Amino acid sequence: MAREAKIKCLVFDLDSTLWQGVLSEGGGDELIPGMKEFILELDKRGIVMSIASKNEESAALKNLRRFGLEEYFLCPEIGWGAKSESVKNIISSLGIKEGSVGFIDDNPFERDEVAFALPDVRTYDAAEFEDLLTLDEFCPTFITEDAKNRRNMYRADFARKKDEQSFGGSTEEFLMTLGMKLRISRVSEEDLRRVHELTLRTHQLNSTGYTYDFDELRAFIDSPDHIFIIASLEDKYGDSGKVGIILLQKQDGAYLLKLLIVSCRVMSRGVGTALLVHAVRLAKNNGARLLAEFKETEHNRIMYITYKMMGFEDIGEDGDELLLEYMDEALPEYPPYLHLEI
Amino acid sequence: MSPKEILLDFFKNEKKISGIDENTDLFAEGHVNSLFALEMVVFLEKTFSLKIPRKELNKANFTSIAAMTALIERLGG
Repeated sequence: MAREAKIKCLVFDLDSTLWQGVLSEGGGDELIPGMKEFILELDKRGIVMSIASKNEESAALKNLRRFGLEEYFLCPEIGWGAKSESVKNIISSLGIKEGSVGFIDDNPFERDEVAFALPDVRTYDAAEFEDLLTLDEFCPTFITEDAKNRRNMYRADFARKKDEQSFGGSTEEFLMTLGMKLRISRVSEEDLRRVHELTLRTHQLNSTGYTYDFDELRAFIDSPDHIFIIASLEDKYGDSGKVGIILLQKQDGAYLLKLLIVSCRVMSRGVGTALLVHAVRLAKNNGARLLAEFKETEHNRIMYITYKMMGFEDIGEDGDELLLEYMDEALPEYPPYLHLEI
Repeated sequence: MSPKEILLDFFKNEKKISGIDENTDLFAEGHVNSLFALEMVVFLEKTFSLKIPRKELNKANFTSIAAMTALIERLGG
């Protein structure tokens, strides 16, 4: 079972779940009482929402619009195919894992159909929707600013991806068109929740997978032996929020990279590279060697490759922890498609 | 197709990067980001049925098509 602790996306049925009655049979005039508040609360918690409904698409969307709810749902799948197919499409469009998805429907047949095809998706009876807000999987540990903005960030992602597909040029040329601005700064108290979230939620672009509790993270901010840095990214499509962190530990004549984490949503846009260039420059400007720890996990090979391709080399190994060092004499350049604000 | 031709074709037709020959320094031209590097590794491993050991995952082996071709030969692909 690969269910994640928290639900990232709840997929809704429409007829007799979101609204009363069956739209194609003259129903759908009224929302289920309490449903609007439920949706607003989920949105506030950073849980995104989608739709898997057997209905005529334009009529269903029109009805959603009438309730002022259309904007809350990403990638709706409205048609006549199996709901499990709809949920699969949503999972793929959003780029999330099956185990972070929930599905709510009044019809036990539909719930069973989805559960059979997608055993890691959690299904819920629409009749009990109000209880969902108290379930652990719907209560995020903390609600960060970025979480509240999640829906808008997904929309910006889709717009960007769509343009990327029609662009036809190489990735680097496309990246130059985005007008990306990367802001690099020291981690402050108000960044802590997002930093904590990144350490817990990021699996691929995470060099060590170390996690720390709030007190430990706070201690790094104040510690004279640590440099704790956070990066925010914005481009012409919108603000991606706080997307990357590095934690450097000062040692004798060396800086040691304990954490290098980049949100997977901004993968391959140069954020990891920019953070590493920043770390190299910091170290060189202080006459220190730059070392990095790497702990291999199931998912983070790409981070190891990133280090190696940037000019880090293996210098030691302690069980499953590797030690790398930046060996290039030259001072590296930031990626040309990022405008840096330091 | 020889490994060299396969790689040239990959860059030209899949990645839509023109003006590359087997000695072009891919890093200097700015074509390599982390995802691209991972793509290259996976592409080589799948296309030539290799498993690239950690020791060989370094910049020098991926710096040009010629370097990658040499790596493939060395690993017996």
